[in-house]
Amino acid sequence: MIEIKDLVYEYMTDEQENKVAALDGVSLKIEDGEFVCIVGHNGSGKSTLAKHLNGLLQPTSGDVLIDNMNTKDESKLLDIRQKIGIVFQNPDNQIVTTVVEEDVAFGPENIGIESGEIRRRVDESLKLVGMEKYAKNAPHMLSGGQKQRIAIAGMLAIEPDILVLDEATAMLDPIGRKEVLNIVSELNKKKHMTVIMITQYMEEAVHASRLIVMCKGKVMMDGETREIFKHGAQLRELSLDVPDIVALRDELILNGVKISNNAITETELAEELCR
Amino acid sequence: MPIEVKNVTHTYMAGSSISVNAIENINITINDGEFLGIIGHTGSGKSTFIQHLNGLVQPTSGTITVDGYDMRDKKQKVLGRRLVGMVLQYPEYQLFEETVYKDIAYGPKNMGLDEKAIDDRVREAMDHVGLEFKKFADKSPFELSGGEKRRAAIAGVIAMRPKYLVLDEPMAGLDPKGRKNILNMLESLRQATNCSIIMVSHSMDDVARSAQRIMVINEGKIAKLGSPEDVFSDAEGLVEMGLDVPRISALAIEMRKRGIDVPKNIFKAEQMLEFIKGIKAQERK
Repeated sequence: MIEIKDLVYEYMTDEQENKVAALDGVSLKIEDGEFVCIVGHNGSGKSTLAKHLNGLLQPTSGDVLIDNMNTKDESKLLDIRQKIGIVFQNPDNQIVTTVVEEDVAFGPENIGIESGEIRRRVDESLKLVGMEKYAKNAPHMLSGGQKQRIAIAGMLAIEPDILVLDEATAMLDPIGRKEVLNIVSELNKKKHMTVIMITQYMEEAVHASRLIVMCKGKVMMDGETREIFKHGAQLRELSLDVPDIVALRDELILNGVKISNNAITETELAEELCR
Repeated sequence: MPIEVKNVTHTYMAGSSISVNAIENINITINDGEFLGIIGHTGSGKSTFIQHLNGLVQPTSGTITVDGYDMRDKKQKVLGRRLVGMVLQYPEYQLFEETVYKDIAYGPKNMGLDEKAIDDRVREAMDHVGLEFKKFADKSPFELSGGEKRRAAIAGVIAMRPKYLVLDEPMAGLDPKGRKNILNMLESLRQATNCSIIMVSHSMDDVARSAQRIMVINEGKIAKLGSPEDVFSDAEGLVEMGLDVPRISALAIEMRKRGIDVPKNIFKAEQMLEFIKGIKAQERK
């Protein structure tokens, strides 16, 4: 379980040494096995929050606890980092070797897993992301979506309980984006991995069961995705948009078409309309 | 005068056993002042195609003329290239000067303009991209936000006053607000200067909103070329090519699967709203 208590993170802007709070009193609890999406526009603090989860950044005040281990406790950092894997935006910055399977093995090797077990984990991870055929390939010959899947496989080989995707689909094309989303949805369903997806794309949020909306370092909304999307006006005030399908649904209701305000995907809306 | 692309084929590693046609037999006339959207998935050849437009890449066969300048000819290419501004992916990675002003001035300076003319162009370009001169001119590019950096980089190309502005994924990685800013900026630039905008994008919704004409490239060939209505009227076909479609087209596909006969030309929310209101009104009768 992740517990964040009154988290504040301030940094100096270089000119007048004014302090800016990138995170301004964030408190959250995320249970094991949840699929959470965190949205907010640039500068909302969502990526800063992600970097606190494994101690890459340390709070100015407040606490971040992962299974009751505080990220401030340096002796626990290695344990924490084996529990949480973070995949970042640019796959090219996360690939370190010249052969796919060696790259996936890099993590478990570094935490001292014995070689037979590494072999097993590498094979399994590559299979989970559907890249087993590319084990001997060179990463730079792969597409962006494939590289990002390799980065995810590298995380899975550490066998984390929690997978964090920090705008991991932003540089991918629509197909690559779908590939990554499908894989993390599967991991969440089948392996009960906790998934925290940080994104600017509201369309991606429909995959998560819980949606957290951030603005100016604060949590503005937190709840079931479907419920949050019923508050279009509030989202627009935070200069975020509801997905196009939800916007259309609301317009239809305003125009007197008798449908419920539950549908958030095109399939669901089509079904409502056929009733 | 337009850009004329005639029977252009580009082969990588030509003559070797692993030669690949990146683009094949492309024909298109890009008109003055039009907004052309180019879509296609990764590896479809769209980036190879746009690199031909300013002579960065030469066709293996076929011809390209920019306002009559033959881009295969060394001397003519120099003249043709001046008309075509090229904004590559993540252009902010190419910002390098100490100030935003100097960075935008770099292109005009290299054209040999005098200081007054350079100054005019920098101010004009910053105005077009919505970066206030007073506030941003003396800032370091590295102090800017992601969206501002992107706009500063585009201003550097606009300062060359291109007749054709080619952009490869100009909105990639920006948040929804930043995306809208860039799209609106391109459209108002086009209206103010009558330049042509040639924009490659993965986002069908962005292309559907802004382009007057859309070219779909698939496996190196033009799969479709026409108005957004024409192109998106075959939503099922686009999906088959592994492309995304506007969300409203995706809804139309789902509705057709369930027996509602949604007209082919519907791909915008306003159209769909009217259509559904219509069928619901009929049901009530």
